[in-house]
Amino acid sequence: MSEPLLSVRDLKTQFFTEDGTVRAVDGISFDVNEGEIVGLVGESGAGKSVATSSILRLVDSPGEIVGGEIEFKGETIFGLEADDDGELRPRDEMLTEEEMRKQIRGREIAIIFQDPMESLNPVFTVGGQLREFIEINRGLDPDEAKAEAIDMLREVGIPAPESRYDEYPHQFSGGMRQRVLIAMALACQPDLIIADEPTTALDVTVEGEILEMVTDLQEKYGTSFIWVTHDMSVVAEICDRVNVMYLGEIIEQAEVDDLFYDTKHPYTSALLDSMPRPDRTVDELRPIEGVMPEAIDPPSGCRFHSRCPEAREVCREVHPEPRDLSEEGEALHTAACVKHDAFDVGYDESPPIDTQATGGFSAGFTETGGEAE
Amino acid sequence: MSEVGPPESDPEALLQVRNLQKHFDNESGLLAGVELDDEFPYVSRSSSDVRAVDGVSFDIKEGETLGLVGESGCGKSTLARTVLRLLEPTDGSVYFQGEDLASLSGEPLRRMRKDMQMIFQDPQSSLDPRMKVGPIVEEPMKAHDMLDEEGREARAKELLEKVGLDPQHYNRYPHAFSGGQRQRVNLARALSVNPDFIVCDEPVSALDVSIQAQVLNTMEELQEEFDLTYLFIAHDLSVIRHISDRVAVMYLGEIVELADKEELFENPKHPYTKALLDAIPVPDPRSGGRKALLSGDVPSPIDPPSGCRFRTRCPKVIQPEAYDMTDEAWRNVVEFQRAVERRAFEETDPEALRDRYFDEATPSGDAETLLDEALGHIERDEFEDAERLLTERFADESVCATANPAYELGSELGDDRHYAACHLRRDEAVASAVDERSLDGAARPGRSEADD
Repeated sequence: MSEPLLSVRDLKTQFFTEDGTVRAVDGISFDVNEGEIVGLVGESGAGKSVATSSILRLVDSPGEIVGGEIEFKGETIFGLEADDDGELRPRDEMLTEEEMRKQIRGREIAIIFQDPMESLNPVFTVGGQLREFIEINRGLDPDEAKAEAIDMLREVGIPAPESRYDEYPHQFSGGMRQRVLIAMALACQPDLIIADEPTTALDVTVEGEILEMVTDLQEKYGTSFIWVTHDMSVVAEICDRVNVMYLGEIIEQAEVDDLFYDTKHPYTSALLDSMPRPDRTVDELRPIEGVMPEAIDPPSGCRFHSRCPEAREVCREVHPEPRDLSEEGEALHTAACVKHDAFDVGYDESPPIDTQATGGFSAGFTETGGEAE
Repeated sequence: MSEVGPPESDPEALLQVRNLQKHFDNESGLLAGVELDDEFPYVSRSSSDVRAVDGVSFDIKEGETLGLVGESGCGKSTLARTVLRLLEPTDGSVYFQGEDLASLSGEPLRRMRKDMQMIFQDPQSSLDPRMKVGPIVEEPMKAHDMLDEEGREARAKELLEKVGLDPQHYNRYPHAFSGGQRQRVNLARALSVNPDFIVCDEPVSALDVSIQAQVLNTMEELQEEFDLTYLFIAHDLSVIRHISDRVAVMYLGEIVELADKEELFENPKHPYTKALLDAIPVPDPRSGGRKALLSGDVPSPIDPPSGCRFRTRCPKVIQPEAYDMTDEAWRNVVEFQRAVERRAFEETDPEALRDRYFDEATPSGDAETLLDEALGHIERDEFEDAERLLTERFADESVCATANPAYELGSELGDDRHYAACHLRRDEAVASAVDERSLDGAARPGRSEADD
């Protein structure tokens, strides 16, 4: 395999608050290859958005990237090294803030946010904002940029783009606004687009249109995507490879088909089981019990053990690092669960523990840890 | 809808909604409805109603869950509020346990409210942040003079436990709870006055998937235990499929299809329902993707299309009788007409447009003459003339535009009736309520005599 477009190694982002350190992203590693749509899935609070803003170095105080390496097309977006005193400091080849702004953001890596209203300025016309963006980032003169902007609007399916060019964001529907943002993201033909829950706020019909459009545009331009979502259906539809996140860690990583049909981590299977299906009637949903713990004080050992139906004593003690569990010749499939033989920490001999998920019916009925009965 | 009959005739139905309408006008306010013109008299006043709910009829039987699904802006929430008479209906009636809510007011209505409760979408903003959850749950009981203070507290604790919370959290504030738990507090509050009927307006759409499943399960358990009847509103078809017994699909203020859950999902009869079902992504990478997609935006409810309101986006608009085109040619005409309307192309050369839109099938006869005329307009850059010609002579001539569809069909799965508002079903219909004479959208499915 050729060099990945983006490679993230052991990325750690922490927020230093009065109550303590929140380890929002705690050592995740993944690659994005050229022309690939990579999914980043998880519940709210899993650290998905912090991970993507870290890639663009957009994490603000009190948050800070404290470790790891991010490489993009051979350039170092983030990297640390120890200096003579053993203090960590940014490596020399790490891009400066100005280089990030001028070369990377928007031009090489674009981002689409969930709420299109907040990403567009309400006091400027849609066309004007798009034109300005193209003008600055591609060095075109205003007329060329305007022509290009109208072309992009047509490309993403805005009806009558010439007349809508002069309208304001509030005159566009939610789906239309999201299309404008996609047009903006594509305008500089970046190599990577990070889409942070771009269809979550939209209706199913509009979501469908946008997904279809993204697939088409992706084929046409060969752009890579990191698609952040909590919706497994969207993952199934557009992603090539998927990373499942839980409480700041990637707990499973696989090709999309393997993830759904050869699920290795109990959290992933629980997530899949808890969803009602549109294509068949499910008699009983099997929810994941409990709520995600706070990242400020994650459970010991495997972070999912407090909600895991298969948890055993050893899960509380051993913290599993993701390991490759694929058979020879198969695509990479990693999971961080000690129930697999590859970990060899004595899971089979370890006694099962009482968790919210294994504590019988009463626990299944309450979110407060089985105190109901 | 052909379930219409004398309201007293169906003793089983807990709630009967008949031809319910809710229009919002824009006449409140000093300058409301005032428009500026270029010509004399420069200023004009117009009143235009937003027809949010426009002639909706359905029954809800005791103990069942009726799912109501539709895109945002189709009038689901307005319908729910009008049914509970939180909004004054413009027309129509709502019979709850045989009494017409639309004619009640004052104290009798207030007492009636005890039996009907509502759960809102946002669990955060529907709880008073300055009240503890115990008093929140007790408040409806207080309003309806239920029990004494001690009894209320005991009941509140019992209900908290029933909805899966710790009764010891009685003294906590809403902010101390997660989204899913807050929605449970809402459930407990709704249950406190022992209602028969609960309207749930998107109760789980703000929650994470795993939490969503927990809350849905709790709602089902409670329904069984307290014999509740739900009107369950959601835009998520998977949730609707899971929780509903029967499902109504709404589009632009009207119900376009209503049938048993299985029947509706497995055997949808309305093109809009089909389009909705096709649009949902399936959590299965081997499902093979979607087939067709809707194009265009939902039209404005101020001036909805005549006849079938879905016709401006429908992939299966029926060919006007005046023409004799092949199906392919008609599809191409429709597609071309919509493309002109959306100004989806810049091309003005007739030949190039023909190649693009009428490659495999060209209309013949009258239709071809009209098409040539339209292409001529486009060549001279008269897009508006072309649009008007195509719309008047093709789109507006279709039966879909001239008559309001309302058909009752036999049901293939399940034994209940299947209502579909689509003219494609006219041949299989066992009863219909189409009023051919009314072209201005005055006829409503609800105004039928089909069952008589």
